[in-house]
Amino acid sequence: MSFKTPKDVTSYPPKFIFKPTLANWENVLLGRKWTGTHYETVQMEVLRYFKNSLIIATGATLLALILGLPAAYSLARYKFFRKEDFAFTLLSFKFAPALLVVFGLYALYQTLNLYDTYIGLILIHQLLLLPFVVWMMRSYFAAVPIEVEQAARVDGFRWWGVFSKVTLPLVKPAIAATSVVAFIYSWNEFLYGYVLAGDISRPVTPSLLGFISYERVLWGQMAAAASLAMVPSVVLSLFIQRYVVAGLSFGAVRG
Amino acid sequence: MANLQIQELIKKYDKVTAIEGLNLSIADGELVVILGRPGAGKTTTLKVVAGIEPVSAGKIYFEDEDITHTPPEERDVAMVFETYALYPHLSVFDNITLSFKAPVRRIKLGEEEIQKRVTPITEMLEITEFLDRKPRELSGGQRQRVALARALVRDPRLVLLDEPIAHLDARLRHGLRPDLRNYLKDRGFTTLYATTDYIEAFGLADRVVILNEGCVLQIGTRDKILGTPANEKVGQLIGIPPMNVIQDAKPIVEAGRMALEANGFQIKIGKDQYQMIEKKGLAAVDIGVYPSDIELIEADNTSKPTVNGEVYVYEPLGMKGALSVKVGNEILKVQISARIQRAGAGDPVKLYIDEKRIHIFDAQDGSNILMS
Repeated sequence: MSFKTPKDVTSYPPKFIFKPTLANWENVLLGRKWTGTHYETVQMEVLRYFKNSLIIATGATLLALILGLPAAYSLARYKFFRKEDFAFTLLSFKFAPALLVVFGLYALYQTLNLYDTYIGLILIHQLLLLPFVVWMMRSYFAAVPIEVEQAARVDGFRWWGVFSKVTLPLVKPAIAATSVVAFIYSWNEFLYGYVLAGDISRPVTPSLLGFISYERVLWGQMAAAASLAMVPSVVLSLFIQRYVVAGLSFGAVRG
Repeated sequence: MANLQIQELIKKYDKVTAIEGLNLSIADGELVVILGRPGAGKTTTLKVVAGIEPVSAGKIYFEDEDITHTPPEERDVAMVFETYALYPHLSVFDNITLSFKAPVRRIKLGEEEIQKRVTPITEMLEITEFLDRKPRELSGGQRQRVALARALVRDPRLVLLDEPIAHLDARLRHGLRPDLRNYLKDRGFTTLYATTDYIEAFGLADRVVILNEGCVLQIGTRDKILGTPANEKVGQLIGIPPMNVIQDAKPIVEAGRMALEANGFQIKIGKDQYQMIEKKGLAAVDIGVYPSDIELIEADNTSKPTVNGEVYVYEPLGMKGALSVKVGNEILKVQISARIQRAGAGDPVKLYIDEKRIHIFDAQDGSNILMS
């Protein structure tokens, strides 16, 4: 659809064979006006929103990893008071429908001056990712044989040495897999990005709505921008596929 | 000088008691082997001494220093785990030498010195050619040798070995046993070694600890344990096949001769043995006799007192064979040379049991009547 002219887009029955045009892409990428049409081109700053998404998704993933890895490790290794309840509470963040909390959050963000800031969106996104990271990584940590860690203790490493020299390298593929999935999840998130962000920090997904203008819908340009928005997810998945597969079959790693 | 001292050690996992009141004192440079069935508490004992598992009660002293609550990295012990516990992401060489990079090491060694230490060990264990490989590319026996190398390379104050050669093939195991003992003794390592194999235990140890369900049955040298097993359960851990135990025999005197009346047959005993039973006031005893202490007697030989039985089954065991003989209502195992092929079931045989070779246990608690 991104290669169709507006006329082709709206034609009924749909045309499968058409004369492709790069105009939509030019418009989205370069902001160039397409002369020869009757309607005004909506000036979309897709690339800027793209950058916003990147900052938010990366930040949220990193923050979720920093908070989630130690939590996952302790859930996998140590016994503590009401451990399962804690794990379940984390997971229960996912139960509430986002629509239920989003308006409350909107009010909260307004008073806290977090509305339309990167930090605000990173915070709410990492909250979405955290249960996922903790639960995924918990099972991967549990799959590391405890005696390997004990061997490292006996070999003279303290807690941190064991964690950084032995445990972390062993779960590296799992971390890669988890962070890619988390990143994509954050990238694709729509609702919070739509409600809690204004023009400054708006991520790419809600920004696509900008193509729906008062008079009509710029289907072609929206399709081009949407295709563009897919690119990081796809590239990342392909690039890191090896790790994801290794991560998913991690249980096979044995001393 | 007692180097390692374990006092009244108790270890509980939730409700299960793994070790019940272990007392053990190991001298400097001594090699002590813990012998016991799987689940007897051997691994737990080693892990507690290493500091990986906390104690439930009791004290551990090392060179007169209380280390009961010292974290494992500060105890300077080396341990071989039964599951190898190699670092999967590191090469064999890095596995062996990782401990030199540990923050608690007092002396940092140069590359050359590390190499100098690694080489003799890898040569002894025949793993020199695998140094660049990852653990997953090795067989079970090779991994076990790497784990052993990782422990020995360090020059620790105390070496803990949990079945370190159990998964090697038989040739290597038998070849390595004396080498390992020599290595440990030459270096003067104080060693605690766990195994299920009595041959290994008696072949290696200065002293053997017999552990059963978390309780120590006997601590002693090879001769002492073989000569006077403290408990009938000790006898059952030793030998292939293990000791015959005839339950509930009654001491009797018949025509001036003292004997034990078992289930359908009698075994002659000496006067002092009879007196010992009488002194303890035991109405019933268990008789223990090793299969290798029972002799097959030619049918026309009448010079020795014998018991009659019939062949039940014959089981070849390599160079030796185990003959099961039905005597009365009991089945006795007799170790014979495999060359004697008299294995027809139902054949009558005569057995001679030397009264000096039998062990008499209290039928109530299984303890040897010779022990106080």
